[in-house]
Amino acid sequence: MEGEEIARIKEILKREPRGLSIRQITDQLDINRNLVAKYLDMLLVSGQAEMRTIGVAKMYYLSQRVPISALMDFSSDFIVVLDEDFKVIQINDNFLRFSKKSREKILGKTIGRETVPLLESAAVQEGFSEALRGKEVAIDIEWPENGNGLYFRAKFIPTVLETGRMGVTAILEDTTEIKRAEQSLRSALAEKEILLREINQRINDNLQLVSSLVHLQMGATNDERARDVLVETQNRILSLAFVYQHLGQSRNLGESPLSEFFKSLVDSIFQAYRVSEETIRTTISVADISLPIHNATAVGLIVNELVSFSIRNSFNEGTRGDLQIVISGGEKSGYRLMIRNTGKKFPADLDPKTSGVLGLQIAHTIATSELGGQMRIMTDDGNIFLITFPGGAE
Amino acid sequence: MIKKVLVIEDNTIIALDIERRVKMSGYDVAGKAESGASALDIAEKTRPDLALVDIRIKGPMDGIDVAKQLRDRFGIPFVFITAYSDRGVQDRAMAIRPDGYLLKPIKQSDLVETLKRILGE
Repeated sequence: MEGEEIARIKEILKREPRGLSIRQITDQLDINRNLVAKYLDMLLVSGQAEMRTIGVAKMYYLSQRVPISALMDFSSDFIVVLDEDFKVIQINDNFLRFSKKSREKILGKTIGRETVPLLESAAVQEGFSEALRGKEVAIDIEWPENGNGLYFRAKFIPTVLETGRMGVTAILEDTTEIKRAEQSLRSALAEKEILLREINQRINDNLQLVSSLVHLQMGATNDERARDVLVETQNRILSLAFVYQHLGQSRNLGESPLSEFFKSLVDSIFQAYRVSEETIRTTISVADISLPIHNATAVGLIVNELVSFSIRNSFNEGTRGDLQIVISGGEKSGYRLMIRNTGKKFPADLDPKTSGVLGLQIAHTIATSELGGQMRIMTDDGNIFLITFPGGAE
Repeated sequence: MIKKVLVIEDNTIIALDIERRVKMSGYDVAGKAESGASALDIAEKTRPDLALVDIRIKGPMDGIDVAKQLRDRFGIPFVFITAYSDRGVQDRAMAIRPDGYLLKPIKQSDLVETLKRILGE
């Protein structure tokens, strides 16, 4: 009688997957509410039914049960369950296909004594041992297969078996394709690095050749003005090389300190013009910004031209003073480069476009054409070059 | 007696420029070589006081191999002049402990300073 009534309750619950309250079940049966509650408790304890509370109502459902072996066989991973004696107690179809063995040949066999691909790996056995000590472990395994390595990400999960004894569930995910894609990417990256180094080498070799030609021409020239022009050209080549040498080693200047780069650049210009730091006191202030390599190269070349111009025109004939370089802004707001000196004043009407000074024309062209920005000269509070350009300018 | 410098550089224009720069600095040039074999031959005959060595040169030996032989066989100090700025080559060059290292394009002030440091005024 009791069994029949429980079977009827299960039948009613089966028809209503959204769940039923005790009252709704009682209404469909000719037995009293207390008896229904007792049978539902029995179903709950035996795991055949589940209960959820929605507001004040208790709703009962039939348990949704799927056999674990079916789930394991659906998985594309390799899954195996071992007991504490390292005996295989469950293994999924995918693993069996890989091992080329039948279930009967593996089930009940002790790992370490039986030859089963992957499971005989020392790393895998170490993973099992660790998990049996209660620690969840994840390791990467390389398995040789027909001359090619196969790669797996193995997770070892401590498991309590039906018997109440400790066991381990191992899930091995085949990561061979990911690993091969990574290797191919690394190899492509290495080739790119080699190519980049070769290009840098050739740039510097060619700059040396041009520098040598200019230097040889200097030696063959008696005209003082012509020599000055050649010295200026030589400095321009050296600064260009300096910028490429420093920036060529980092893809993005955010990777190396901008302030150090500009300090070294200014040192290099001072050295070329034989200027001491006592004559021109320099401060360089660079915000915590990252410039794309193209922009950093352009800014380096502008700094070279404008600092060189400042030395030649504001600090000639032993004039002393301060030189200030400030770079601020960001990708969204745009960037701002200010070069200010307190040496001899520039003419108030100095215009980079009409002055006929090559260095100013170069700086103006780079600022407007390459950086898509503007260049202004102000002379009311020292001599100020102000360059503004948008972030991400090509 | 004027100190002599051996220039090992496979580009003839750059070698000519380095020769002029060395002479401008008050030293003599023992010879110019484009390859390792030719450099060792000149070194044996002229016994220079210093070698300026480009790392990438003609022939089977590179500048690092030649520099090592110049020191091991003739006790000649050497300075690398190179366009290589990459870490790997720098490390290999530094491993044989050069007396100097100049990056291309050469700055006259750096060259003069290096020559004076090794050869004296």
